[in-house]
Amino acid sequence: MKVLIIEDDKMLAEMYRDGFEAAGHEAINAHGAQDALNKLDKTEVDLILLDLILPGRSGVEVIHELSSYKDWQNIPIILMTDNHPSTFKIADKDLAKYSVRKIIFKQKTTPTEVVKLAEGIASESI
Amino acid sequence: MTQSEDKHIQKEALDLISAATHDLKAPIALIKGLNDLMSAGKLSKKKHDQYIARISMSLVQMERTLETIEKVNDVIVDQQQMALVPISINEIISSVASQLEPKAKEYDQKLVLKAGHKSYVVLSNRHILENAIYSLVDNAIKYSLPSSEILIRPSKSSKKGYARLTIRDKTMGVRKSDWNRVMDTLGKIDSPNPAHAGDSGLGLFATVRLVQSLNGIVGVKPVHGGSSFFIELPIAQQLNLQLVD
Repeated sequence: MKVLIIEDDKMLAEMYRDGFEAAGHEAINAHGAQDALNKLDKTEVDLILLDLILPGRSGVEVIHELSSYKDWQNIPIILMTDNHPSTFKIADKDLAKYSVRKIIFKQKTTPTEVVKLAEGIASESI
Repeated sequence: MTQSEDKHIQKEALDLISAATHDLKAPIALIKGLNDLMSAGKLSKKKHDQYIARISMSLVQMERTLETIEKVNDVIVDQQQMALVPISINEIISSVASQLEPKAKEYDQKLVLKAGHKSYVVLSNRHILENAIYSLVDNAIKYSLPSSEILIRPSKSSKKGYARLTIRDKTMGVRKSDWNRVMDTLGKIDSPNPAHAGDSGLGLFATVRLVQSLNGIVGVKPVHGGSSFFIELPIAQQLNLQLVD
């Protein structure tokens, strides 16, 4: 599996990349929305791990942008946030519409759990 | 204390909690995550040592956040009066830079001190001023682009009797809404509705409150490819003492 990690905190980004690589997957980091779109232009990925709060364009704007391109609109997304997911009032059908398969709370989810979640989602998408 | 003053302090205390919570989340997620990967026992020695260093750095960051909470609490809740003495800005920025250099290096950034030969002595409180400057530089590191420079420069302010400390960073571009949020934080400390002053983290909130307690001003302006934050503080007046025969 090849994963694009869009996270502006360099240390958290490396931590998730290490987690995926330790499990035998390939992972690339993007530090912001534009960096992510540039990388998607050059490489195909199986899943996107996306931070909700980014400098410049937010995670939500990235989701909207991805959904407008045929090649990218079906890439499954795991959305990461600092705030508890219960604070989000997003219906499951709306999440699915934008390929968001899961919202995770960073402090409550370990890299190992993120990798397992991603593996499950990627296998469903095949 | 009147009911209105009491209500105002309660709102500020809630803002402090909100801002501090924001700043504690990232190091907690990092420590928890690195611990998880270390527990799996598959790391090289180099990676293991790097993780230990990052955990230590995150713990220092959390300690610093707690210290800042205490200091801001003294200012906003206890309304503590600061003892102000003449202090060299140059000395404080050297101290802050040496503390934050390892973090800047981790983020692939460089702290550049443009102190020159002139030393600016302001009327201030060493611990409070150091905390305020630390918060601003720390924020600049967090939000700057990799491989960029963060310039720290003391100078004379255009405001008579004041010295200025400028911290200029290169960020990924600040949107108008983000600028509004920053300006809102700068302006809303005395506003009756500080609902989200903590949204940008403790750094800016703490800096504004601490610098205000030193009779200073905090400001920001967008510059090409980044932002320029500044603190202005009253220059310590030299006493004209004459020897009496």
